Amino acid sequence: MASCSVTDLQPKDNLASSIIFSDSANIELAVVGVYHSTQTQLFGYNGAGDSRGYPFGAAHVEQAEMRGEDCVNTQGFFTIVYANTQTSSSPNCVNQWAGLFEVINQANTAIDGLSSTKAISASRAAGFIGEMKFLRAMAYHDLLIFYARPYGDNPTSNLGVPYRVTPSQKSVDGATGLSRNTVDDCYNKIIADLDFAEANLPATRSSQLQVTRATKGAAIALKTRVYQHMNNWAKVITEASKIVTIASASSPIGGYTLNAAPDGAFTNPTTVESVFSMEYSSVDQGSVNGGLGSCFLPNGPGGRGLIGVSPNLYNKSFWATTDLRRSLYIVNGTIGAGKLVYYINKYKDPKTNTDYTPLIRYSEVLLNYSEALARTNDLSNSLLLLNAVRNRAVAVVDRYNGTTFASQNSQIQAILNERRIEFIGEGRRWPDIHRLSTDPTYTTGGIPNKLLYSQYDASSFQAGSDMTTAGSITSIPYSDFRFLYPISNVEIANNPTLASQQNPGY
Amino acid sequence: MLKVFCALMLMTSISWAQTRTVSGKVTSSDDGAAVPGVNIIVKGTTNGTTTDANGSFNLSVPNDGGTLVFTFIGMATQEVAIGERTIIDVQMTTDSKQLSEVVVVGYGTQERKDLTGSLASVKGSDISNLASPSFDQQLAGRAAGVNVSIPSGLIGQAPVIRIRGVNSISNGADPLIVVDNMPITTGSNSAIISNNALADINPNDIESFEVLKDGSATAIYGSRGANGVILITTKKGHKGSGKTNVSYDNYFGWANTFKQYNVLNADQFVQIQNEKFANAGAPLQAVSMKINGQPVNTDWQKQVFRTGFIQNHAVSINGATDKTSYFFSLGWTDQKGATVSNALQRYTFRANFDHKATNWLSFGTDIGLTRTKTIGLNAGSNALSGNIFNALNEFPNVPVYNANGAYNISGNLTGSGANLANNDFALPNIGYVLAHNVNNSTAYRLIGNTHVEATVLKDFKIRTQIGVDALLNDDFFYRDPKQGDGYPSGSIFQQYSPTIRWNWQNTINYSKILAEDHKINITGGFEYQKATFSNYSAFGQQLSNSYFGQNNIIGGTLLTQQIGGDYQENGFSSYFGRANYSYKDKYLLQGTFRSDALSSLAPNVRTGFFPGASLGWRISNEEFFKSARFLNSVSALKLRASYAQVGNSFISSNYPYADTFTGVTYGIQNGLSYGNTGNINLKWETSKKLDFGFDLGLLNDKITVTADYYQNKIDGLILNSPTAPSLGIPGNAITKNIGQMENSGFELRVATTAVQRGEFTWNVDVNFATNHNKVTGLDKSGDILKTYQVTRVGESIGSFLGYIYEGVNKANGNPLYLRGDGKTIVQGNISDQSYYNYDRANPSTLGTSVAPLSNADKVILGKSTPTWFGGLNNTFAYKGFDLTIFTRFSGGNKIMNLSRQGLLSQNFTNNGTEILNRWKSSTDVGNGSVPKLVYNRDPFINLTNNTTTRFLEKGDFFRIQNIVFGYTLPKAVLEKAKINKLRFFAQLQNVLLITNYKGIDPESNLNPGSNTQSGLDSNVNPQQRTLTLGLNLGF
Repeated sequence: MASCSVTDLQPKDNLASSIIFSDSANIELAVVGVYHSTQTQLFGYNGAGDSRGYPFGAAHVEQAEMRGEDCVNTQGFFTIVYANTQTSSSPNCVNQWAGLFEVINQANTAIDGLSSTKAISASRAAGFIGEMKFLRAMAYHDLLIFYARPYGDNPTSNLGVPYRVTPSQKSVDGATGLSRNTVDDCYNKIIADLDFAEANLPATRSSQLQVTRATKGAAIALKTRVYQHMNNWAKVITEASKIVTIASASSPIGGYTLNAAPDGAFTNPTTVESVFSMEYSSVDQGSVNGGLGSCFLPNGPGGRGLIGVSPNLYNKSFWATTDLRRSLYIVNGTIGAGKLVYYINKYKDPKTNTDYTPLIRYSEVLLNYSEALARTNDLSNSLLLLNAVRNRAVAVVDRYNGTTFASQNSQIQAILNERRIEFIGEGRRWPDIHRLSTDPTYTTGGIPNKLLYSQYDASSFQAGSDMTTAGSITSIPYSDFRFLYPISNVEIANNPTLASQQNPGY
Repeated sequence: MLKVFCALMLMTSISWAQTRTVSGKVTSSDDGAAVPGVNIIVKGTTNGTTTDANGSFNLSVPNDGGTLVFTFIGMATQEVAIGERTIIDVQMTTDSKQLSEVVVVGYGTQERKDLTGSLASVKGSDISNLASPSFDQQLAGRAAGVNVSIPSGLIGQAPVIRIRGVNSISNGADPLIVVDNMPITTGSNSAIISNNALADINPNDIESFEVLKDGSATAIYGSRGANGVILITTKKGHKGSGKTNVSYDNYFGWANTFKQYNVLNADQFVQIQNEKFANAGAPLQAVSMKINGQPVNTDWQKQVFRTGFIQNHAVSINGATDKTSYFFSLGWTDQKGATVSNALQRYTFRANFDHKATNWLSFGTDIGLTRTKTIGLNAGSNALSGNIFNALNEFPNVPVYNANGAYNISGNLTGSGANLANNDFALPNIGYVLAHNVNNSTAYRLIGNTHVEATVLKDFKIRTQIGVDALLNDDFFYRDPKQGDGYPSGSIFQQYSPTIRWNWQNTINYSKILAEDHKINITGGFEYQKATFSNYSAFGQQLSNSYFGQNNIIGGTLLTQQIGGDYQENGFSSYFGRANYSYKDKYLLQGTFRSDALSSLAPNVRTGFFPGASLGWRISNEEFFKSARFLNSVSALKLRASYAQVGNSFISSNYPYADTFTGVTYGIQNGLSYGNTGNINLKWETSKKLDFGFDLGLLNDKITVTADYYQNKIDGLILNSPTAPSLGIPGNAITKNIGQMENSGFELRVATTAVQRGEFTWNVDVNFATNHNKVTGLDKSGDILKTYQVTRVGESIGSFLGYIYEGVNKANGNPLYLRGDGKTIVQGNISDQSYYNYDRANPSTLGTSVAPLSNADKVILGKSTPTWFGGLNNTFAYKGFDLTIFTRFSGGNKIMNLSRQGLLSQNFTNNGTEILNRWKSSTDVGNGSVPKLVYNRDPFINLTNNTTTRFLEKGDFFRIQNIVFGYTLPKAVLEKAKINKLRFFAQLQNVLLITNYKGIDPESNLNPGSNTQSGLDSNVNPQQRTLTLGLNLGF
């Protein structure tokens, strides 16, 4: 008898999986748990990933900025990504891969439990499944942006990633045997997930949940981005028109609109401008290694200043010298006794790192819409939306009007330029480089040339001058294998199926 | 059956012979005390008895007398002719040689001559005077097959103890440590620094260590013996001359780093850094700085190292009467390490007490109480405030202090002086950090037991023991808001984590010598054990005033507050038995059996059965052996063989079988994430342990040799079997009974008195062991891949996997590597960070770019664990002088020298002096190993996060570990002062290291707890060299 009491022990710090989906309160918790894994990687490799803000925390933003040219690696922390020397064992590639797939399996596990539960109504379950599919779609799209060629390059033959829709633990062998779906296949599945989410998600939620839990509007907004990456302008317009009334630049679903101040979405993360963000708080924070404020702000306000703004963007004449965003989005700062340079000023709390990760802002929806309209030659409506975003920041003399652009091309170029200003420090630069790389007109040709931090000083910043310093990190053509991240070497070691489908060159 | 037969024999001898009775008393020649339990037999018959509690006996003997044989463990056997006497009193003398051969074997003791398993003993006195934070470090090199390595010089760092190799892949490989029959908690129990649960034991309290190595010896511990067992026996009261013995031991010492890192001075720094920038086409950033006209040249290692001071005091009182024995001790040690901010303070108290209540009932208790405070620091190998990482990377051309005496600080960083850019690693001023941050771990520990022993029937002893190991750990850190880890708001963390284990053992022992030739000893028992691991913690930020941050959380001083906590438990229930039989002291047989049920395994399969058996043949007791002239010089020879199946209870989590969800938060929302993929079939793994050995005595045992061959085949290994990351399974692993591994090797120990001439003696004791580890099976998911290593079928666990470096292309300074095909050499062209084939005939020609280095080019480059190791102890004595020179050695493994790789960084940070040998031009090619310098191309030039032969080095070493010189005052002098013993000693620890390893120490180990990622040296704190002076006083 004594043996029973001594050895018959149940975990007191965990709940048995078998009871989760038979209880409505536990179901609610399990749904939130998937958001947690989206916000913070549960299980990092080699001790690094879990605290750095993978997959949709600070690391999400940093990776996407460091692959691009508009921000600069101002310390030694992003040297591999910034200089494009990633290998399959680089922590960035390994953790990004693992973190995103962790979200996917967490979502699949919840979907599996929700699909058969009798503890809640079918419609409530569908709403939860909608959230899960939204997160799954978002994770898959991020995977495609880093590990696959863009949609514009032979999507029906180029490989995407394996699109998993069932919990891997139910059949480890089956899951391991799954090949990479084609890029086209992945995109179609992402759209299907988002269509389901749109149909089953509520338009509004109370308090901060409106921003930090998936909504109908968020699903539609994400579709405008995904269709944009598919260069499917008509669909971008279809989706965007659901949540954008052009004249008022506001949404009938979810009540989205722009704040009057360009930085309104950052001084308060739950305004009507934020469509979807990752939630943080002082008890669930990114900490000094994975917090946006800590990573992006300079010393003065208490940040670590890991990433600065490139003078090559700062000096662009398309960025009006009096643009409010020059002072609201970036800040003149120093690190230690170092030279004066510019840092991102969007995140406000370097002390306790409570800043939300902005993942979809309404201004992006408007610019997605604007670009699609311009691409389909509806230039006047396109301009209305571009101005809606831009005019809150620029002086009257700098505003665009019907005569500003000589051509459709120059208007599209202006929209793309606007994205670089509006989203600086939000991790939108690499996705744009990725999708535009196959664009005959607007491509950067691959990974752009980048400046070393040591190549410039305070005098290098001359707003409006168009002064450009050639960076010593050379550009990488689109065709080069380094345009893509390699599949993680841990995957290659443990998955014979994907081992034979590594991105070529690695 | 045997018993009945013997009883019959006894009766026949009584009934047929004419008899009379003799009686007498057996006393000890030491102190005249009665000796109970002495076996007395009439020689040549089975007629015998044993002495009672008063040492008295009565025995019927033949009328015509004969000879009585008195035998008792630990005493010299005596034969006494009966003659006409009716009263025969005997004084038995201690047989020192034999006494030392009584060994603790787990749930009992045995005479070494009866042992059939493989066991090594170390005397407590061999190491109690050696200055070290914990006794376990000093076990290094002391016993064959026991590899102890010291991962760093930090106080609080537990050594890595591996008995006969690494016997697990993803679970614990540490041996079971048993103190006075109580299995205790080991490892680090701090959440913030490394501390060592074994540091809670005062080395001065330890009488002996027994290391159980083979299956037969460990099988009595069943599943817990998989990694070997170290039995620690604390000191008991000694009868001595019947008086109270008092001893006082102390030492005082000074500790310095054994070796420091070689980094660039200020001038070299400026030259090297600007060369990096120039080669990258970037403006030069390094500029020399002067203060008061003097160029600044800072050695930042002076901020992190110091001369430490150590003192240790131990007082003990012990004694015994016929009925009662006692041992009390107090200990105090205060060790300030050679690393700044690293110290240990320990207070210990011990009370061991035994009392014989009646002639059949005795009871006792062994209690140790300790408070150990470990003062640590951030030693993170790549943490910005990690003391070594920081000191090695700081600019040497900036000062620690400004001209005004304040710390050189700018923002949250070390000021950059005249340099145009900051350090790429944005380092805080480590001097400030170490002076202001607090990292303490204080452990309160009770290890104790109470036991009762009763002789219920003749020859049957019942024993019950309740033991407890209560380890209450209190962690505290304060991080200053201005510099280092606490920036920008300051933080405090405090955690209370009690680990409580109770253990209840019940044994019955039957011990009998039948018919003189048949020695039987049977032990059986059952044991229950339960452990709880809990903790709660509080973390706060935005401290109002640093004044509140020094000792404990103070309410009302912190704005941001977080709490944490956990509760886990595990339990064992076990049944076991051991039977020993020996015939004529020639043929020895042991059978062992244990059944363990463990809560961590799946409910229906959690009980395992672990049998073991061993045989011994004391061939030297055979007549043919004794009569063989050519074997005259062989005084003893015993052949041994053993086989056992044991399990492994060192499972890395408490509920690996359970499929669970775990609590998480998402912002201000509560949630549950899928946390563990369970395995409802998770059961015991099986270690099949085989051992062949012999014990040989030559020239009247002047030379003793013990040799063993061992083999351990593990099957159904409990493995955190990796799943591909794209499956998204929690932890990317499922715990399964899959995997197979083998360890095998030889062990040899030779001890001899090399010289004994007059009052001069020289003893040599050498041990040597080999270990061959091979993984023979893994899950079908394949390799267990780590950043630098792989665990792969057919290879040794944690083998290094990487690229073969072929030096520098002298034409352009590019690094060269060998392709996986073993033929093609490629060059990593630094200027465009792409790869090109290398043409030996035209080294400056690049041609067209080729595929970069990839997994296919990585090959197995070496083992991460030593394949041979041992120790050599020389002791000399002349009159009152004694000298001990203890050396140890190890090798066969490789070390990935990440510290060296870091010191060759292409970032704007300081470098090691090796970088001075870089390639500069086709006419100034350096040493051919260091490529061209180009700023910011570190990952490409040094292949960071990959193993290359450029940084993978041999770990072979030979170390003179200790030299101890002592002088004991002559008795004649001491007697006048009523002193028993007074010895003064001086010792030097870590005297000399002979190795080709280029790093700070070949024992450096970044991941001491990991089986698959051992052998990495990354910014490790150097070991200490300690000089101590002390005395041993007894009266």
